[in-house]
Amino acid sequence: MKLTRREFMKANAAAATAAVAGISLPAKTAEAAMPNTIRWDKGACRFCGTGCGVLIGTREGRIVATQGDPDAPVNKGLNCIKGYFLSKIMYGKDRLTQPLLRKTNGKFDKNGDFEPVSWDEAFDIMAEKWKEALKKKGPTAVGMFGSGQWTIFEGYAASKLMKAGFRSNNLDPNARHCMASAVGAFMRHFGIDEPMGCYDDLEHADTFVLWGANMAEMHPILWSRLTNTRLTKPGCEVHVLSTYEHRCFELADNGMVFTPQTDLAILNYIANYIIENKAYNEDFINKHVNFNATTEDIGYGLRPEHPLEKAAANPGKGKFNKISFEEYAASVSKYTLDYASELSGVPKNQLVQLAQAYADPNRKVASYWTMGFNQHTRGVWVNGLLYNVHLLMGKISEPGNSPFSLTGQPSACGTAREVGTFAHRLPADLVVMNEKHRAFSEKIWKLPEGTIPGKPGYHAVLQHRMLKDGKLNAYWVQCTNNMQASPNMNEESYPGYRNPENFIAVSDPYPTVTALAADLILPTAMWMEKEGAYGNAERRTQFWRQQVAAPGEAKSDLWQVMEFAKRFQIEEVWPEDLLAKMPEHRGKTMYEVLYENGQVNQFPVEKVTDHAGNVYDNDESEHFGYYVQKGLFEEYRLFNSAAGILKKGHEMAPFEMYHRARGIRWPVIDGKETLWRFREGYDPHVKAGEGVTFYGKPDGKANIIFAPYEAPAESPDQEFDLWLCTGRVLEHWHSGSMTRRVPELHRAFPSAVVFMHPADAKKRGLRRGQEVKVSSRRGEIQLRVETRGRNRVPEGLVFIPWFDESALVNKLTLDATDPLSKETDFKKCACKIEKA
Amino acid sequence: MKVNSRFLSEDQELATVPGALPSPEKPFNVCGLLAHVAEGQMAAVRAALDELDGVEVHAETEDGRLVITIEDTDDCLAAEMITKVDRTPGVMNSSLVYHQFESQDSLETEEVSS
Repeated sequence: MKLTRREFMKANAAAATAAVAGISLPAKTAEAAMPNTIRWDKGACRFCGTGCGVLIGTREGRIVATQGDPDAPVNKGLNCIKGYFLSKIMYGKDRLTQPLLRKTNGKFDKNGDFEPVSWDEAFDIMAEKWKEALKKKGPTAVGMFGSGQWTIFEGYAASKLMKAGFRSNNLDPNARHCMASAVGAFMRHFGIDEPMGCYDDLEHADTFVLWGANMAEMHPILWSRLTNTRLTKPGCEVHVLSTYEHRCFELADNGMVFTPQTDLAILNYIANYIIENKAYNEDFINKHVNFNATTEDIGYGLRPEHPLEKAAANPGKGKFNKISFEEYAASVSKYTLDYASELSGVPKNQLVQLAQAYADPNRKVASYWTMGFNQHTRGVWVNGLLYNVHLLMGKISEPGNSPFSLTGQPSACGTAREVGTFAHRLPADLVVMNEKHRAFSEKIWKLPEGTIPGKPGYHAVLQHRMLKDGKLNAYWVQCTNNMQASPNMNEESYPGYRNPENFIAVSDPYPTVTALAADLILPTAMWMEKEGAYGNAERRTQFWRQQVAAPGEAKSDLWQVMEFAKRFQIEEVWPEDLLAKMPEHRGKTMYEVLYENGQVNQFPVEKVTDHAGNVYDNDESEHFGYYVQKGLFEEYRLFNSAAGILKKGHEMAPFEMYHRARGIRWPVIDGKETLWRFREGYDPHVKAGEGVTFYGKPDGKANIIFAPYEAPAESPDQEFDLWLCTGRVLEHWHSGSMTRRVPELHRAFPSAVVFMHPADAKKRGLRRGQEVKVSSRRGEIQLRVETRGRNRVPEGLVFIPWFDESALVNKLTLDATDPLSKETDFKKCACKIEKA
Repeated sequence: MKVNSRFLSEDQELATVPGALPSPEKPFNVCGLLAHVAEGQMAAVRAALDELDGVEVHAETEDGRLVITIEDTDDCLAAEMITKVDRTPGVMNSSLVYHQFESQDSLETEEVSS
């Protein structure tokens, strides 16, 4: 039988799709879909935190096909519409293949134009600037901004480079913009990071509640699992809360649009309802819960001289104090149905229906949230208020009863959080402020005591403020488009990058807004061009092999970090008294101290193969002469397995297991993954007879922490009369640096629009499609009005996606952050709209 | 240096137009899509899909899912067609399972035997 390539491709597509549906096709089609010249291997999707397994099809050194991995437990062969054309993200026309430096007359000039340079020249000037900054002001003058899209190996290597090598805690990931509030609440309430449940809850719950998450567009695979349960399980209900209507409302049994920030009041109302109706699980709260109240009036994480910070009684204070159950009940009693409904604008009957779902002891409830909760000036509080509700009912840590923080990036959990790339963190939930934690980390890294500084570094938003103020002078950004992603670009980010005192290096596969605002651009090998590992939102760690070579001179972030470390003699970065404690390090490069320490370099280069015997490259191992990824991972694993570990519960499997498995969920004990944490029978850390133990806390109890409703930092007024909410659209992932380079996706949604209520448009004499000027106190942009379509906003609120670099919405946003998590509130500020 | 909105000097703008492949060859896309159809809507959905160029239904499961392939046509890229299929009344949810792209020139000439 002969087939044209077109027919063959179609037959392949039909066969793969039918296989996922569990049916076989008519003989003729099935016969055509025989193995061909495409090599298939397992991989993880490059985009969101769902962590779908994808099969990568390579032919002649190029990725030509992808399909949902039928063996991947997360997505069971499905792939979301956002994952379409995943294979094309590496092949944009303007892919960077050489380092580029701003130059005039052959020399570096901050105001010059970008010219191609060699890696040697790039690292020469970069090292020179780093050494200058270190000499002038010390370690706090150098910094790095990383990513929840870094592989685990890259994040770990960078963490060592900054915290141990340069002895600077000025390392923060873009996950600060995305997950920091979730992290803060996990630590306050449970003493250990990341969700207790897993995606299996999607099949076990009776009620689903979405709090500020547009799962249908942002986590479509999880949404398809949820949809399936809703459509097939009798009595299953879906509640959706948001500040505007989106696609999830189509499936909602109870869809609620609330006034921004009033989620705080709604959650306290639910707690009040549970207590007034004596629906709480008394046995559970007696055994497993402590009651507390948090410090109030904590400000908005703005610059200290901002009037709002000066007006706050306790700016930045996170302290909470133990209270009794009765005191807690009295605190939430103010949040009556009348008050919550009036404040939020949600009709009373709908609030009651929601509260009943949580209060019914016979319904299993799974709650999901993303940026609506996290990007919130009270993000830690609002995450926590939801835990309060679940804890009051004991609806936690068992199949179907699950408060679950969804993740936006593929390895915000695995990299940013678990290996400790935050300004205050070390691997495995350890923190720099704790002397014991530092000492333990130094021991594992074979470094002298006192290497790691004890003061937290600059977090994401503070990094831009410090660049602007000239206190942070040598700065490296990898794997993220932070100029586009950060708030208040006009007043903080851009002036910071262009400050003549500063030198900015940006590593990226593409000339993003961030790269073009820098002084040096380093071309990066991306995704399948390197061996990698990501950790998704359900604690699942997934590996992939290098499938293809990177174009031109592009190198992985891992290569860049380790190679850059070779440019420093340890004497140039460490003071004499530190060196004197371990004189054996004298005369070594920083690279040798950090990576050739007998641990990272202990595994020889291996021939990497899959089960079918296909052989794969590993460019980093080839270059450095040892199995780099394995060495880094096995050293990282010591934080969870060495004698005297400080925090149990993060155990990982040996390196090889991940190359064979479709991901494994930690803690991994005796080769077995853990689905539900803290509950006997599911979590091996909970002993027989204990039932439930929240072992992240010394007394094994979780915290319920009361927090009140407090107003947002900026609300609409007479002049700036609309709420501005930013976010994403289905077609584009984050800043669009990858998806906008896929022709089909670019065509499908080429430019950002402002979603507006028809009545608001009419009031301003605007019609659909018209060009308008949107402005805030900080800047203005121009784009077109959309009054229809997928997002139906209420009167008084507009929504603008942030993927479009020609309409940078972060010129408008305010850099108000949660004072506890330091995560920006991208969902609420005030703007106005006029004819352009 | 005069810079535009992307911080490029103005003559650099054209070098970074997003959304184009390096190859002058036009790519051809084929996708495999699995669509969940609401109860009682199957006939209507199938009739609607029959009207769409480049869309082919290969099979139907007992629990109401359709195995569909979508290919580029002269008027519509597969990506846009996926959205149209997804928005077809009666389609509750759709998931992409497979995607492959090849250069258009090779389509009719290159033969593959099985």
